[in-house]
Amino acid sequence: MKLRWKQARQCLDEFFFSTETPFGLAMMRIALPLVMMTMVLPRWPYTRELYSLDGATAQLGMGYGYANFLPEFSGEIAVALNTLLLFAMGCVLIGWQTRISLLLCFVLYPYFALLDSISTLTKYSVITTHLLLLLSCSNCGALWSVDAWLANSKSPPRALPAVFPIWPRRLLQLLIGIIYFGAAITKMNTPTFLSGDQLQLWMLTHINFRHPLGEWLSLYPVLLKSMAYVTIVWEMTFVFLVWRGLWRPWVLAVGVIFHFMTTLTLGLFIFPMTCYTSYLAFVDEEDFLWTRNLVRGWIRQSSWIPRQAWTAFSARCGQLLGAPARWRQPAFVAFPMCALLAAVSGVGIEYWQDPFDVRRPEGMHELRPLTPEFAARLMSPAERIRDKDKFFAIDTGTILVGDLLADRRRVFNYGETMIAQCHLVPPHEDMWIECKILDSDNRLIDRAGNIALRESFRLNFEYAITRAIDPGDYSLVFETGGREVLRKRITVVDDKSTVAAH
Amino acid sequence: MRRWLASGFITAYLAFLGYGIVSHALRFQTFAHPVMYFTVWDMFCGWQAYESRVHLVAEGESGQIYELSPPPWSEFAPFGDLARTHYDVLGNSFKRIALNTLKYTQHEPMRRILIVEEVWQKKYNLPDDLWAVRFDEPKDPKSYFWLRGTFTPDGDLQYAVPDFISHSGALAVASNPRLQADAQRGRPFFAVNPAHQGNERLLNDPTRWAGGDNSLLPYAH
Repeated sequence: MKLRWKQARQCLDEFFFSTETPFGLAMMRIALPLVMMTMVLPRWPYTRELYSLDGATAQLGMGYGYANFLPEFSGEIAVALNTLLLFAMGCVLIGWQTRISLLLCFVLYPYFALLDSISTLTKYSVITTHLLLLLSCSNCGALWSVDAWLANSKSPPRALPAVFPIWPRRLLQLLIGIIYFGAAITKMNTPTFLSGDQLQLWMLTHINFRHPLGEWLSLYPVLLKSMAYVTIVWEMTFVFLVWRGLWRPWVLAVGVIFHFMTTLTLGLFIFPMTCYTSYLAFVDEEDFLWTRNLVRGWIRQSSWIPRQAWTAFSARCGQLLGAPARWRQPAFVAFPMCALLAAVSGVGIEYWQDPFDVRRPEGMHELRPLTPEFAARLMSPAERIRDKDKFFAIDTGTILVGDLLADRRRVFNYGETMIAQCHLVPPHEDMWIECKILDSDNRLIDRAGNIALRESFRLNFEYAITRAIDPGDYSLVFETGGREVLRKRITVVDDKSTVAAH
Repeated sequence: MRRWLASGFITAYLAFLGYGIVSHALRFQTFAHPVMYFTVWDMFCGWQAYESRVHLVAEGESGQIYELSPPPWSEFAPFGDLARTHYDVLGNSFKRIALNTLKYTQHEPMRRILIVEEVWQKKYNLPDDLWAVRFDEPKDPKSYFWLRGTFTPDGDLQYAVPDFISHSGALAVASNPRLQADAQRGRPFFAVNPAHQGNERLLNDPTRWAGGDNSLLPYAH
């Protein structure tokens, strides 16, 4: 027992406290501020409006019952702090006073996100906050950074740069696994996720960037349902399979594809970029050295890369800068000075920019009046939802997979059983839905009815296509409460090849 | 010492992440504190079959209706081409955004600020070519407009109701006459329920669909 405990402890020690050169974390340190720029830079001109007492903040705390969870400052202070955040991000990128810069980002970035829960705070800002915290615990600034260059003369050159305990990278890896595990729990708690309905409607939602592939995929709910199962299995197992062996590259590759698909199908951009950045935590020393040797070999072989010019340029830079030691003290003093200068410049630029246009010669803007037509629509009395809006679509086919039609078609042969599937969307009341078959002269051939409970998403009507029906064109008419809602044309043929052609 | 500190941090951090997972899985204290947002991974937890937009407008004393969002100086579109008001599902920010626009613009004296929701079925978001693949009928999109709330120009709440889809869902439930009769029968006779004093009553009255304790309030405009 004691031995087992000792072994477990040894394993844990090895897992968290073995040492390595933090190549992956250094790459993450460089990539993360670049991703953050896509969030922070577009919002900077709106700092006064989104994050200050002079504008209209939307604190997350409000939704949790904490009205004044965070202090709010005047416009000038908010702008100074947001500019400081940009400065700190730049410093993280180049690795200047890396740890202090990361800590500044860790405080300021979530502060602004929490102040504007509707247009700044999302789950990718939460993931970024976690990454900033864990990077600030690591030695990610020990490589490819100003800090590393300044410290260069301190220690003698080695085959590999300095090594550090691995635990920040391990926590980052666990964080990613736990995020996926939590996301899988969310999906399990959403019953309509596995039926494909949620995915179908998200792909038709226009609140993110454009996503034409999603709109097209929404026509194929069976495919979406299959993707839903793959996603949930992958998310649940990620944290267990990603560590080593054959599974590792596969699990990570699925992750890369999954996030790329969220761009194409849901219009997400920054979330995938944040996740790709976090995947750099899975680059270990061995991976990096293998890739570096590969790239170096390729560079040596290629004739078009100006290696000599690059070497000469590096040497020239080295001559100009001189020994790193002479810069160490000025760099230390320059950091707070530059931070102060950046903040003051930010305030000045924002003043000149005049975000609310209150200092322009013609005075403040006038409110835009609505057109009388649109104003009348806005002020019109509330209406009940139309019948046709309670129905999503009518599909016909013969094969059901997970209560979804797998072979959507309109042409049927004798001997087949046609399934007419009526898709409903909530909210709708308990409804009596009738399906009528009319021939091309609008004569009633058959009718059937069924109850759709208010929680129903689908109602199926089955018809055996027999010789009692002549070949030709027919219409399926769906009614509720005696009111026609939707129609669908079908064709009955006496020829299997025609069916196959459709 | 460094090792102990590191071990302590690792334990605390993993406990924090673990608590989020347990809280989320068991739906226990998930919304207890804003910090929970940093440990509960509920991405894409909800959905609706209807697309929703919010129109923040003000009614002047002349009767003219003015647009308050997007503001006249510039439009900030955080995740595409929509103004930030459209992402506020709870409606906590509408008042501040409206007052902010009024503060920095020239305008006539205002009578009230209105929050009007516009919703339409998401199937109408399908482009025309894809619509033709799936539907036999021509596209007939319809927007429903729903007054969610009004404020005075000073920001005092006058009127607030749930969003259009919640309202329609409640109507779907209330279309059962037996349930409606039971709900009416089971309610004590009080003109005003003391438990629902204050502004909360305007927002949280679960029996509103069946008449509610404050049935004098206008249900729809």
